[in-house]
Amino acid sequence: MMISLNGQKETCDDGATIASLLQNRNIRPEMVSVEVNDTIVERGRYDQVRLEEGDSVELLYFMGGGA
Amino acid sequence: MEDEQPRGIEMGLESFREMVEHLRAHAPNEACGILAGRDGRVVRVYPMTNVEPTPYSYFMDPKEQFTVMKEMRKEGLSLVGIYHSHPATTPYPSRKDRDLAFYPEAATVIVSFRDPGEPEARAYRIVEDRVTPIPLVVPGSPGRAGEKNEKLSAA
Repeated sequence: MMISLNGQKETCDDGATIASLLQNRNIRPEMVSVEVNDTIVERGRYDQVRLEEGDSVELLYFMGGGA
Repeated sequence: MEDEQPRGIEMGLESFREMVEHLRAHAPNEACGILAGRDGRVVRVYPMTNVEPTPYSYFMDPKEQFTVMKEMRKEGLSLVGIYHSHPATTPYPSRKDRDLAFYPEAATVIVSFRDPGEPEARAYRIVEDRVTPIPLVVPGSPGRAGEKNEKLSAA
């Protein structure tokens, strides 16, 4: 199925979850924030939220640091 | 590996002052923001909320991050840099700065206020824990414009 990932059209497996999407892209879940259709998804729900055709997914790495 | 000859970052004096004044306003805590632009040139400064405000840490509000990144995309702007302050220490990336450098294409800009009267701005690329100083060019600045890693007077 097709989704939008950070504004780009991408294919992903039918029935994919956020967790599987991250895993397929070798992205560590603890390093990113995820938004689906303009709603931020709690990290604890990444393996429960199933993506659907046409979903708009945004992935952002954390921006942080310190002296 | 990118950047055998690391590209620098260029900011107009007005953008530079906006960044420094935003950081100064939050001292003694750290503050942070996003530099957006094209081809290494900053055209917009986005002051961001530090949701972990202490003198030694920053963490951008993810909700704001989403909003800003989407707005940048809509306007055809790229992530040119991520800036933050070191209120009392040198403008060099800390262990935590290196651990959380997830955007190697973006410059890390650090402004030190250890001498509050003379903030010191430096820019780096951080790629896989390797820190490379890069030029920070501020045309028309009261410092040494055009040279790498400006040390600028307070705006």
